[in-house]
Amino acid sequence: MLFIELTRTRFLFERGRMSGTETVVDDVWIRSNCDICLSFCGTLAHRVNGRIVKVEGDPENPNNHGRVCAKGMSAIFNLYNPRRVTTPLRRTNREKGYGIDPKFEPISWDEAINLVVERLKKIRAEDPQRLYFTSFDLPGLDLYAGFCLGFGTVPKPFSSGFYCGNNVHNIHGITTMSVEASPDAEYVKYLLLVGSQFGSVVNYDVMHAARGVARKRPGGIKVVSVDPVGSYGAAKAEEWVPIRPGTDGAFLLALINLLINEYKIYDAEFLKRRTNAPYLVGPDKHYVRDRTSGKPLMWDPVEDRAKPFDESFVDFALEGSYVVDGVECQPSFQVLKDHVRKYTPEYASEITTIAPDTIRRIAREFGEAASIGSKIGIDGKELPFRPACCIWYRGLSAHKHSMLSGMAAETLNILIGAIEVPGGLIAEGNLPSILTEDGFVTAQPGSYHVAAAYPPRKVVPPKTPDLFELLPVACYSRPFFILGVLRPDTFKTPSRIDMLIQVRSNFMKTSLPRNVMLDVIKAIPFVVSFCVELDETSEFADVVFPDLQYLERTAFGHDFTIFVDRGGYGPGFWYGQRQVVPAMFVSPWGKGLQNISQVLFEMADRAGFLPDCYKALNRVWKLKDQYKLDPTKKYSFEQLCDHYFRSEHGEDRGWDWYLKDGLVVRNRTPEEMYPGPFRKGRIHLYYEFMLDAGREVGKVTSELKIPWETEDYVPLPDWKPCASYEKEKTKDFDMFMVNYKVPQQSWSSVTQSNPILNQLSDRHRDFDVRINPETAKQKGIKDGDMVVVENTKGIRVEGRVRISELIHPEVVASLGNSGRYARQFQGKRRGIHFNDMVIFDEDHIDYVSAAVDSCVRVKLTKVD
Amino acid sequence: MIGAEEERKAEEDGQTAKRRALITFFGPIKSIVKRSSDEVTLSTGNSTVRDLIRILIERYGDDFGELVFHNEKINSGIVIFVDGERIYQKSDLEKKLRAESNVEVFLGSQAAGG
Repeated sequence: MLFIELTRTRFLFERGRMSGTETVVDDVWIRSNCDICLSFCGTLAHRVNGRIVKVEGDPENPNNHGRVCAKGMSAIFNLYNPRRVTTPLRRTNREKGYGIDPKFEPISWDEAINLVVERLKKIRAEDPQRLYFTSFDLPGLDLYAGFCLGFGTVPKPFSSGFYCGNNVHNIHGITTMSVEASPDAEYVKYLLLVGSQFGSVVNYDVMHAARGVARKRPGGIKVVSVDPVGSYGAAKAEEWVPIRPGTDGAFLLALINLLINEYKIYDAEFLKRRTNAPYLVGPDKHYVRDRTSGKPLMWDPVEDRAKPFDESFVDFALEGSYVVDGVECQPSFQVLKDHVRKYTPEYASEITTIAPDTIRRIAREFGEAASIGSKIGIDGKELPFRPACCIWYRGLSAHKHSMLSGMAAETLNILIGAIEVPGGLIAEGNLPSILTEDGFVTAQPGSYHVAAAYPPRKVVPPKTPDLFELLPVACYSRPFFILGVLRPDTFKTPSRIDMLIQVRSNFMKTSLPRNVMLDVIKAIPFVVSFCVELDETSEFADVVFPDLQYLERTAFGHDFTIFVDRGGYGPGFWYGQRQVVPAMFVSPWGKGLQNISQVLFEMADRAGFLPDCYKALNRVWKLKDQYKLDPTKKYSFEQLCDHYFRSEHGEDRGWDWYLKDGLVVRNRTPEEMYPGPFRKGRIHLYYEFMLDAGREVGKVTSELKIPWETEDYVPLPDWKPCASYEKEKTKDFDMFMVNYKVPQQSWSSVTQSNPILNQLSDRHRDFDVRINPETAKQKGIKDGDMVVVENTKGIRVEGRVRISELIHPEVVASLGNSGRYARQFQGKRRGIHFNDMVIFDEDHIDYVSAAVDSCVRVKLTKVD
Repeated sequence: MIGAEEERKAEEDGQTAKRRALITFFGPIKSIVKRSSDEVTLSTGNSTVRDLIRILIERYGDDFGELVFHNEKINSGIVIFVDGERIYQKSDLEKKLRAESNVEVFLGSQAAGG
């Protein structure tokens, strides 16, 4: 298929053609939500005579306050896209490879569905785990979960989870009782961004965060962006601090050292009462426990004795050494205090290139901004007020040893008591929580997916192709799935994959280098793709189904969602997507296709497991008894949704209500907005559970002779260098390559098919590689020159240079996930495919959080 | 699981009623137990969740058994709901079953995020 440039004239033509020939007379605004990034901003789509002419933000939606970004506004360019897949396709060319024409031929829906069903039946009878279902379509995930759980697998977002949330979600799960957490945009006054662009239309909580931060400027907030690349987040920050890639942990540990040991700025009361800082730790690094009850002990310095944590205390020791039953022990806070001493500002400066005085200043600013001891009145309740917060994401996460850095980042928030209180770190949708017997509060799963690091899962020989059983504190295991596919005997993979179904998950582009992913996809005999247009992954499909663009579909989240009840000040809310225009293609349901799950459930019905799907939905949606689906019946899509809406939102809020309104906004109590002060149970400052978890991993992997690493299962944050830091450095390979995000290209499989967004990026030269003027001068490179960037394995990419002071001198940076290489982008590729530069081996994987290292040691040369 | 009122009534009636558990398996756990659902009848009215799980382990073998318990609690990597309540702590295991209890079992899977 040739590349089709979408000009404005072409767009208008295609919109008219794709809207159909029926005469429709209307002029309406329809509520929905954008899904071009994880902000899921509420939108209003203006439909005139059956065609969408505009998309704006929904002013009634508290998530985004009536705003959308360029992505949301230009969504109709993705809708009226001449490259849309409009009919099922079957591959006729058995050969698969990059640039190879699949020679798809159109087939009927019936034929396409049956091709899949015959395989589903066989796989389900033999081993359901031989189906790998991947999707990162969060509004659609619950329905896909119904299909998958009923079949015998689970949906897995294979296109993500290699680089970003690996040491975010599992740590938030034990701190804020959520998968995701953000600074309280309403009240935060000092925001430390470490590899994150929170507040600048990148990250979660996009519009609310941007508004909350912008409203305080000038003078009411200080945002400090610590990042090798001064991208949008840094450009809007009050201060940008360039940092050497992969060294964030050292910087954070220096801040912790300064706060504890020099400035003595920490929330002692919070630490004593809400964390395990007072838990006594012995020389074996484990808790010292009561001999009778087995409960962890704390020292009461007034009564001068150790007691189980749940007894009454006059005070709690945070420091000192004590002897209990002949064992010398210390509160875990003392252990942390001693551990971080080596992270002096001078030491951290050598590692990070940040000046010692800057480190000192930031530590003091952060600590003082936290206003420890202060309170604020929120709707009649007095709550602790801690308007300082550290937020981290991919820039910190995408490294070997990054679990230890994530622990450091969270420790900073815990030290100042900024957990689920005004101004601090708050949950993006709380999960249910439990209180453990050791006194900890931790998130528990909604249904099938587990995210919290504690309690660690039992380590057992692999039961699933993901090898998740060998990663007891992780929330993902993506790279190990790949190792399991490529080396099944070594990694003792229990099931080979016979079929892969992909829905909105362009993993060939977003995961690992192309040479690695080619081997993975070729190892899977049958690939099914649902796609809006052919992409890097669907080009490898055996059967392709058209997918709905978000303006054509109805979808909503429940079990895993970040657009429900965001923490912090403001109302709770719920909303979803609503079909604004019918599907551009004809399906078995005519124009009545509203969600791809209808196709999946049709497959389930033909394959004989639809009743199991309904049972799964009863659990995933937590349907009340009177709304539970009856497995002996068959439901239309509207009926399924009606059951959910009534169960969740009330008897009077069914399908008709959703079509007319579908936005729930409710007032919340201070307890709901800021649960921290009301929670029972403690959170982890000291990760004692890591010790036994690591021991179990070591035992199982050595018994099975699976090559593995356990050195990072330690109870305290630390910094260890990536391979690129020292090991791979030579005279020639003297630079780091990293990638970064810009708001208009957050989800590039969608955005880089959007001509308006591409024009915006072209104008801003987003697709160029950035280097610092010093670097350029040293290497004799001028702005606009073409350069070759080569990694230590000889992989080379070429790009045009943009010289910018907003980049660390040791770094060359390219836009993440650009360089699209699907056949239809041939000759029109924009930017570099960064993932080709990533080295995928044991030296570049974090064996605790399953993150893949993406700071790459490179050399840079000018193309003559 | 059985509520206080139900328990009191059963004791008053002096019944030794059997307990029936209807178990549904979801997701990858089906590969391990090799079925989608099962039914267990327990012979006494005092049967607990622990009794039920013991029977399931005997029935499905080591592949399932090694997943279930961890440090005397339910492994956090397996998600079990009995009558809509999650079973995790030691104390949950001692809860009594109803005359007919619904049990749902999942193998904990990766978070659905990025």
